[in-house]
Amino acid sequence: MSPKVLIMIPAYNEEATVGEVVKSTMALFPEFDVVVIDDGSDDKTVENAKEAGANVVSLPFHCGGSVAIQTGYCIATNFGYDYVVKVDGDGQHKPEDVPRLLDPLFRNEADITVGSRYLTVENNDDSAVKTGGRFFSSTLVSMLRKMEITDITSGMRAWSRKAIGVLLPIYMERKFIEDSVFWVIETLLASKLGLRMKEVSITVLPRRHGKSKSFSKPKMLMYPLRLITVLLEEAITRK
Amino acid sequence: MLERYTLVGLAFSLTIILLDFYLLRKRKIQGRGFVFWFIVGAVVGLFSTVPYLFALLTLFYGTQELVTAITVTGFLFFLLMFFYLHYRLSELQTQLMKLAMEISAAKYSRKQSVTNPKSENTKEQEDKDE
Repeated sequence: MSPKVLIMIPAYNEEATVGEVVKSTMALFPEFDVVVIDDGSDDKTVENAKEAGANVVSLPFHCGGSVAIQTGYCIATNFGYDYVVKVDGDGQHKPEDVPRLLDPLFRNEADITVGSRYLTVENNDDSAVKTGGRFFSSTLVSMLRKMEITDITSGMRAWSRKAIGVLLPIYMERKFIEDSVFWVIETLLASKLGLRMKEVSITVLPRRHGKSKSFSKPKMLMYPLRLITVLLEEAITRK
Repeated sequence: MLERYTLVGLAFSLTIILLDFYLLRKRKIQGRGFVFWFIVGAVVGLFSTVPYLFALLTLFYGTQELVTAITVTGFLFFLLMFFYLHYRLSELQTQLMKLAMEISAAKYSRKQSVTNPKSENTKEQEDKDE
């Protein structure tokens, strides 16, 4: 019996790229289900995703990436998927990397896999500020949680049913999480809850259309402060 | 002869209390909110009609100027309100996001089970049967 895999593609105003992402993903993995989670887009994201053949879940208004991802977890739980993979709707993630993320899960070597841009040097095309921010957060969390993670902010990830079963009830209990720190919080939670994480090398393409929604310039400037408050919050609220 | 500030204070107090009762009758305000604004109106009325209470306030803060005592009280009250409203907004934001998430997931599940009845439970059942 082949495992049930869901590929979720959160998208907010990605009309220029979402269709192409859906088509290439569906062509590569016809055996997997593809669902686009529209985060209240006000352009033609929904129409283009449907036209490309994806199922679309629409949030009633723009809630942010973290809510879109948690909606994906809800759907995976409701429909009993064994594995979930997240690919961004902006075309920066290569669907060809999906098997790399799934392999450790299929082999039961991990509960969550994270696509890292920094396991190999040639993938690093980002600005010095972005790279510095990622290095800072990854190093800090690695040191605090005694784990090895090189790309904590990477959004190309995959989860097993077990991981989602553990994480989703916690998200439903706690307060709303901002997009910029969602992956940091998830990594901390996974580490605390004993979920096994593994990084695999991926290639991230440069953004061709629009701007990053999670890391605008003001958010980038505030990021170190936000990260420290998250770590403090986690330390204070830990049982 | 009443001082002008007493008249303004009384008018403010009466307005708040009457508005509070009006909104309660229209069921647009709930018990806790009604009691809070009633107390605010009553305190303003009390301080306006009994000026001696202001002297107590200056004694409490150890200030000489009455206006300083009133400003400090107002500022602290404002900060307290701001803190409470910030907390409430954050709580409401969380509830709203969860609601949006659950509604979207439920709508999708319903749509899928209508358009493709084999997609959800039926498929799981088939797998079990195999």
